[in-house]
Amino acid sequence: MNNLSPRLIGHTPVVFLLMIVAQLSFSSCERAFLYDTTATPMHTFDYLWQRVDQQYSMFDVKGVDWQAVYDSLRPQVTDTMGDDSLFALCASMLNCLNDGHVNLVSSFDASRSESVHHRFHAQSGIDVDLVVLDYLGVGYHSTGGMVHGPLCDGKVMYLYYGSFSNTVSVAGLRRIVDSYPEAQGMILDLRGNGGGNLANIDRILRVMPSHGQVLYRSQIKAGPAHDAFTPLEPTYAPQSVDDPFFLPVIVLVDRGCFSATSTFAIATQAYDNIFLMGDTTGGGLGLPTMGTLPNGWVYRFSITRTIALDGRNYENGVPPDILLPFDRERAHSLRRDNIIDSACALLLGQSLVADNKMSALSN
Amino acid sequence: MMHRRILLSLICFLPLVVWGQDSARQPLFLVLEGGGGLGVYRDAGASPLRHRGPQLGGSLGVEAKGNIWQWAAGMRLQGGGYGYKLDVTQLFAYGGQLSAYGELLRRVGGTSPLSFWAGVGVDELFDLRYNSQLSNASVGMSNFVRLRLTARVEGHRHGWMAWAQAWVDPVALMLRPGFPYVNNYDRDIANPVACALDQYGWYVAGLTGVASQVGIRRHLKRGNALGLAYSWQYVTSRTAEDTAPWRFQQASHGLTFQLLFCL
Repeated sequence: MNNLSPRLIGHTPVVFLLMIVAQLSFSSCERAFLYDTTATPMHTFDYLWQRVDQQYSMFDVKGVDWQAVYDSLRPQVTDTMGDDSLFALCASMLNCLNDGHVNLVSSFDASRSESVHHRFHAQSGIDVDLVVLDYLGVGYHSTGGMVHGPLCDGKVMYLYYGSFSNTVSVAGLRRIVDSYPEAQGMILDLRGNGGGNLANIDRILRVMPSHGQVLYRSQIKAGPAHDAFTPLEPTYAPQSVDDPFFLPVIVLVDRGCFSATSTFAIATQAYDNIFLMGDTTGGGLGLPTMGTLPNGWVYRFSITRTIALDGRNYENGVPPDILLPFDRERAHSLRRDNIIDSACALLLGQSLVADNKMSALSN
Repeated sequence: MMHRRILLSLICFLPLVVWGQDSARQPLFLVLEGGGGLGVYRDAGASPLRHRGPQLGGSLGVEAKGNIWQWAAGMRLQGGGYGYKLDVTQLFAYGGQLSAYGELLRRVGGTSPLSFWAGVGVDELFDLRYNSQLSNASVGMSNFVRLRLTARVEGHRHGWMAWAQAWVDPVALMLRPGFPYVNNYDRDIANPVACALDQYGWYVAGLTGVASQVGIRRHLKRGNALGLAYSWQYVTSRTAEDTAPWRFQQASHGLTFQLLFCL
C-alpha cells in the first residue's frame, strides 16, 4: 500500500496541477451533456401539438379530432417561416379547442380562445354601471372583497363579487351578513366574474351550512391517452362558521362566469339554500397548467376535469337553476336589471323549497 | 416523505460516527461550508429550456480522518434563480437541492505527502424546480438515492493539504414523474396535490451522475483548519428521449469556503 513511487511523490505539485487541469476540463463537459433545445418552427409546433395531445384533459367534451387538426395545419409549417406566422398558426391550432383556459403567449402577442372571448363580451349578462347607479348607489359598502348594499328596504342583501382574484375575508363576509338583520335572503352577483383563486370558493362557502357534503369531484390527466385520468377525488364542503347563513341565496351567473366562478356554480349543487339564476356560465372547470415551448413562448391549457354531483362535466358551461337571460332593452330604457328584480321577487314572494330546487323554482 | 429518507440516511451513518469516535485515533471535525457558484439545469417537467444562473449553498457535516480510513457525513443545501435568455426577453425559474450524504474511504496507496484513497458512499438528493407564468406554475421534482464510488488523492506539505476527488454514481433509485403533466396549482395547492404526487414513481437508473472537487486546506492551531474548494457536479435522469417530460439534467460549479473545527 505504501510502495508508491518515490518519483511520483517527488512530483506532488505537478500531480496536483494536472488534477486541477483535469477538473476544469472535466467540468466544461456539461456543454456536451446539457445541450440547448432545438427551436426550429417545426420542432416548436410539434412540441406544442404533442403536449396538448398528451396532457389536455377536455377532448371528450370539446369534440375535437386533434390528429385531424395536426394533419391540416402541419403542412403549413416550414423552418423558414417567421415568428409572426408561426405564432398565428400555433394560435389557430389552439383555437380549435374553444377553451378559455387555452393561451399562447410570446413577447409580441398573446392568443386566447376567440369563441369564448366573443361569448364573454357578446352575451354579457350585467351592466355594472346600472347596478352601481340604480341599485347599490354610489355610497355602497366594500367589505372582505365584496361590494354590498341593501335592496328592497333592507329585506334583501345584495353582494357583488367581481373577481375570484379578490381575496375574500370570512370574517368580513360574516360581518356583511350581520349588517342586514332584516334580510330574508341574499343575492350574490357573480356575473362577469372571470375566475381566480379557488381558495375563495371555500371562504365564501364557509358562511353557508355545511354537513361535510361532497361539492364536486376532480381528476387529473394520468397518461398520454385522451381518456387516461386518475381516479375521481372528491372535494368536500368547508367547515361552516358557528352561525351559518340558512336563508335562501340566489347566485346570479352569466356567460362571463368562468373558471373558479363556474366551479363555485357547480359547488352550489351541494347546498339546499343556494340557487343559480341567469344564463349558463362560461365553463372552464379544468385547472390549467403552463409550460414553456422550445422557443420560449408560454402555453396554457387544462389538465384536470371537474365532475359535478350529477356526474356531468360542465366544462362548456354550468346551466342555472332558473334560466333568465339579461334584458338589455329593459336595462337601457327603464334602468332596471330584470335578473336582480326577479331574484328579489323570488326571495320576498316565494318560498324556495330546499330539497327540490329545480321543481320549486320552475313553478 | 423526503425528510424521513434524509433522516434515515443520517441514522444509517450514525454507527460510522460512533465508530469513528470510539476509535479515538481519528481526529473528528465539524465541517461548515458556504459559498456560491453557477448552476445549469434542464428539468423537462418544468420547462424544455436549459436554465442557467447563480446559486448559493452551504453544508453542515462531520469528517474523520485516519491513516487508513476516513469518512464524512452531512447535509447540503443549495439553490438560486435561473434564467433563459431569448432575443427579446428572459425567462426565470427557481430551484434548489437538498442532500444528505455519507461516505467511507480507505487508503489504497501512498503515505504522506501523497496518498490515494478509494471508497463508497450513499447520497440522498432532492431537487425542486419552480417555473411560474400566467398565474400558473409548473414544478419539476426529482429525488435520487445514489450509490457513489469515489477516488481521492491528498498531498500534505508544511501545514497545507491539497486534495482532488472524483465521484461516479453507478446506480441510483430515482423518483421522477411517470406522466408529468407539469403540476399546476392555480394559486391554490389544496386540490390537486394528492393527485400530483400519484404521478411520480420510483425508477432505477445507472450512471446518473459524476462529480469532482479540488481543494486546499490550511491547518491551524488546536487541529482546526480553513479550506477552499472548487466543485463540479452533473446529475441526470438519463432518459434518452430529448423531449421526454421526465428528463432531468443539472450541473453546477461552486466555490466553497470550509471551516473545520476539531472535536
